[in-house]
Amino acid sequence: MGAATGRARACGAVLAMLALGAAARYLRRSLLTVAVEGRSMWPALAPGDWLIVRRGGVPRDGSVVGRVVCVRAPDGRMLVKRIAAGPGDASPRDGAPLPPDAYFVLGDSLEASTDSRHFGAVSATAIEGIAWLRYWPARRTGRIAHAPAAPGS
Amino acid sequence: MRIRSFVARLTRPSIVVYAHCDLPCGVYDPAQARVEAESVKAIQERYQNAGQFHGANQTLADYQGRALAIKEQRAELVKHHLWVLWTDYFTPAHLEKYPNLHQLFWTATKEAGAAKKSQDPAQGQRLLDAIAEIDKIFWETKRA
Repeated sequence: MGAATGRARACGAVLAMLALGAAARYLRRSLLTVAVEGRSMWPALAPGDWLIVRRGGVPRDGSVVGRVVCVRAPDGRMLVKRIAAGPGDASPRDGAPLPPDAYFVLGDSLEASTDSRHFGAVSATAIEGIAWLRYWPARRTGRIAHAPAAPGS
Repeated sequence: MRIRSFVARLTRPSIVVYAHCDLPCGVYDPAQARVEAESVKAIQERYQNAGQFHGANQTLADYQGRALAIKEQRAELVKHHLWVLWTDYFTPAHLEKYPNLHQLFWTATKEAGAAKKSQDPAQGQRLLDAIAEIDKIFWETKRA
């Protein structure tokens, strides 16, 4: 009797740990935590902000414009910028419509930002995810606002 | 304490994302020159009252020598920051609107040079005044 209860308890503990592990793996795959460095996204983001980023799932339509995203720059660095224009929109650089799968990213502080004006539009595969929540510093926690208007305008 | 550091390890992001700006990044501010010029003036004031400031393990001559050396460096930094504004920030269009711009930079950098030789706080103030005139124009061009 005592041995049976013990086995049931151990079994339950193992199952709970497996469930926790699976949940952790799922979260790790779908969410990313990042630390912001640099001032180009001021005032939306400040250096030292910690964010939760939802990986993948970039909407392939205009609804992505205005989102703050983590994007892989051509030099391999991971950047945080805002999508200013998507496929079919006028390119902020020359006014020509952006090709399919081209996203133009800009910093909110245009004068302190290196972005698509310098390295060109990026493809959806370069976009690692959409910045979703700020969880640090504590007094600035909350969702990252989606700006429908072009940044800097 | 162990729990706190454990929580910190769990929550601290492992990835840095750059809201960055490669050079040239267009961040200019005459405040850089002003802060160095304020140091220059403060050193000139301290030099005048060096008797009050030199430490117990320092002779008056040592203190004054050190003050002069640091003032030399700070004055050079003033020149540097002014030159960055003059050559990198301001454009021919700015010069058209503010024809005295070259004169102002010439005066200010000359004062920065004079500050190396002068221990007179009034001279440091002239340097600060010259930078303030550039600062005024700088912020007018920023608003435009």
